[in-house]
Amino acid sequence: MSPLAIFNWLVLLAVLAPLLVVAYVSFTPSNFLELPAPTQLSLRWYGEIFRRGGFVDAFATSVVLGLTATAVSVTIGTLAAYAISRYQFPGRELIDTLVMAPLMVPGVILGLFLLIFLVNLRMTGSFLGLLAAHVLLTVPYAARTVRASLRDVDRSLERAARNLGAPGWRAFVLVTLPLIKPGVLAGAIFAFLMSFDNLTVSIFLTDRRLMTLPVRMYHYIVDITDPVIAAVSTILLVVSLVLVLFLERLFGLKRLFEA
Amino acid sequence: MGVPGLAISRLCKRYGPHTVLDDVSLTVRAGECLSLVGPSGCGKTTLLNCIAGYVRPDGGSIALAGRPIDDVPEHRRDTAMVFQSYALFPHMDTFENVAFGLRMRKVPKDEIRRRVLAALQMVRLEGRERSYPNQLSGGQQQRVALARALVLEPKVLLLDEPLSNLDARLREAMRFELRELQQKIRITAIFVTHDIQEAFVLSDRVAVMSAGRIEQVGTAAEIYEQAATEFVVTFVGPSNAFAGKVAALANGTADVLADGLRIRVPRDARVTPGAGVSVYVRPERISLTDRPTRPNSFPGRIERIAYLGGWIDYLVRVEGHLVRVQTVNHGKPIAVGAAVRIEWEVSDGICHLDRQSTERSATPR
Amino acid sequence: MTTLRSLVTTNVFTSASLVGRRHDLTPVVLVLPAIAVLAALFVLPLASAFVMSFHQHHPVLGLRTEVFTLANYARLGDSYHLGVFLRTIKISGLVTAICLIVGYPIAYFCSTLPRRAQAVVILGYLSPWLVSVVIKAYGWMVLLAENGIVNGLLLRLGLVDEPIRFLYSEFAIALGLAHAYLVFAILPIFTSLVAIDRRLLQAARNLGGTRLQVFRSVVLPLSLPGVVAGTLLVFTLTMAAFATPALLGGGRVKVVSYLAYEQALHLLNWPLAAAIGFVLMLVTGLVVFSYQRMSSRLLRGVAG
Repeated sequence: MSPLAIFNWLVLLAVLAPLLVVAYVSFTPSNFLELPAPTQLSLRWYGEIFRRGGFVDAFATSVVLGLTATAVSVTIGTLAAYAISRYQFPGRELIDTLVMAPLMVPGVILGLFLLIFLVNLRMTGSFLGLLAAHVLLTVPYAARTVRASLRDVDRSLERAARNLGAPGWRAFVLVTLPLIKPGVLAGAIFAFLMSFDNLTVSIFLTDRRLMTLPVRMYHYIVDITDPVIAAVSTILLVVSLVLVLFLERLFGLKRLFEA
Repeated sequence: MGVPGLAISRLCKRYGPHTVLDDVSLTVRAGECLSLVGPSGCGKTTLLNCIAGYVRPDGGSIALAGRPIDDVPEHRRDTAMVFQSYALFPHMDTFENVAFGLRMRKVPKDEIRRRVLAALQMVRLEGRERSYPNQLSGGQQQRVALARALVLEPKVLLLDEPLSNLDARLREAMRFELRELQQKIRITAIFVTHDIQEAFVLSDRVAVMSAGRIEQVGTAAEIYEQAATEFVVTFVGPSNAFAGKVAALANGTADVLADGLRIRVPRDARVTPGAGVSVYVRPERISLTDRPTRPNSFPGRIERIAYLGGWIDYLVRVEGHLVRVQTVNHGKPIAVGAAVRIEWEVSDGICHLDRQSTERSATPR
Repeated sequence: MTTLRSLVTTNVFTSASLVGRRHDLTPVVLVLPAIAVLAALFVLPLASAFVMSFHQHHPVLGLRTEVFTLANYARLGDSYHLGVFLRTIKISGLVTAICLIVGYPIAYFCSTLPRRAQAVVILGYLSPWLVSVVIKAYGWMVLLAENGIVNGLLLRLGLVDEPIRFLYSEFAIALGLAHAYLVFAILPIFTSLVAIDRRLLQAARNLGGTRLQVFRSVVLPLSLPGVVAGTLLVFTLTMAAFATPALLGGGRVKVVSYLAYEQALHLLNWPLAAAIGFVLMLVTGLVVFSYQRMSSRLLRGVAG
């Protein structure tokens, strides 16, 4: 093996180590981290998830929030991506930049600004406020992914549809949409992951009654570090791994970064 | 001749500082196949897109079968297009692709079935209704695209370089097939290509375009024999150019002095003594002899030979000129260095006024 | 008269339809929802936060919107806040450098792998990005705690006598950030390496270049756009990072984003928090801008 290869595998091991350790700790029976390896494994902490406060509720909130935000932002993002990639109109470049702009602002700052803004509307701690923030967060991902797949659709296909007598919207529904369906689905998964994982914006807009899973985990870990969090993390790890493998199948992860 | 199939008048299109169509007027007769030919960027595709309605011209008007269509949106125009990439819908099978336009027109189901099958039969694709585009060869895809357009019985068929994605052998076969089909159903067709031979084979008339203008419209023979402009001369085939000045005018002919040669050409009405002109002679119209037999006959020496199989190309040094001569290969090539005479008929010379003198005399083209 | 009238009406009609089609409203309708969302949830909050940054937070009276002052920005110039800003830049620069130095050889290695292996290895490097920041931070806590796995190993091997305090330090933050963002250095470099025409390398070798020469004179220059993109990505991401420094710095070693969080949610000083936010964006923007100026000179002739 070449030195380059050895270096690569070592770094990859280091990269995976914290994640593997989390999974490992979640199966230890005691409530502190012990070395050497514990003699037996246990599912104790997985059971604890349901007993410790708020994890299940937070999980439910995160799922509902993620699904709703995704539905909204994929719709909005697909329409905008189509307009931007297929039409010339004044302000096109500006909108193109604006759609991506929320990604340029640090999450903490975005959360802070949204907090300041929503306070004026008395919408902090409300699901609607949180949803609005998550739509803003996920629109760039949805729009970008759909745009990338629109780029792969031969534009003469739409022209052909119109030439054959389909008005613009029917050409879109009958020809373009079926062809970008994988891209739209990938954009949806991507958007959902982004929403589901978000901590920095959500932390400003949640309170004790309304909490997403990452925020719940953050507050928990700041106070206590027992393996309950490891059990939750392991479940999330598996879920996102499945989603990501699906995403890779569907769309190719590399392409998400090329747009 | 009745109502023209398509009448384009004074069409203009600019993109920023770029003039893509510069006052283009063109009439296509009903049932005629007309080729738009020119180098890439000459505006031929833009013109086609204006007809289909994809591009909105800045000025001018287009009438289809006597009716202006300038304000008709593209999906209501009766202009079926065959795309260079075929643009077959990859998620639909052959039948659905061909049926698409009929479905948009809300044609009854059984009539759709009948017409689609007839169209597929016309392009000899019976039995492939359930194949998807990626299961068809390039030639078959091409036929599906053609059937999809023809099934609508459009007032004009637009073909955008439909043969350019086929390999050379298939392309030649398809030329004749397309031509036969067009003549059989007598459809008005506009065919865009950059290949002049394709244009000659496929169409009744050819319009040569350059830099957003139509240089000449005519039959293949007219274009080739009586190329109207310098651009057309060089675009439609190789040609020897002799720059010179008009020395004398006679009845129907003019004598041009070009760097040591006195060349006799058919007289152009605008030519005056002393005017700067260029004389063009096609390499296959020049013959090699040993004795002078015609007015245009000059001694020279073979400088290079290119063996092309059926033909042989000679480069002959004549005074200061290097003249290309193309002869049929009879099996006995002349050796390099041999002294020969080159000759051509007066009528084979094409004489054009140089641009400056054209502009000075301000004659309309 | 009738002729005149018909003339006028036709003119009106043609020009109207011309205008109507040239200003086709379809794209406007399509982007309208996106614009509405972005205007309401991005531009407006940005504006109201900007206004907020000039208000005053009074220790007793709370938020005073009637006051307009530059005091919040002035406060950021004191040694404490300046120190946090400098630390943040230092950590981000360090992390960026680490990610490039580690990421380049890895990207190069990946580019030499067969396609399927490429996908697997890249997915491995992507994995930290795919899990929540909290999980990553927790993983590092388990590894680096005083009773954690690394210290356990070190003690067991007799390399140290007492556990080292890794956590809640700049080291821990930098390690966590490098771990989180390494893939953002790898991917652009990898992409630009894969895009290099293999025939160029064959040509260079054919012309007598050694492996190293070919790398230095062909591969490296052609991959520079990827390096530049990776640098920008990693730097901006680390400048913006919140959860990793918050958890691994334990609130003791603070970075700018934590400062903003703390002011906003613990001390309820929104004006100062907003000011911190704007200055953070400004500083990041300035660094990125000057870096781009520098690198565009470097990239001349390579880009494209």
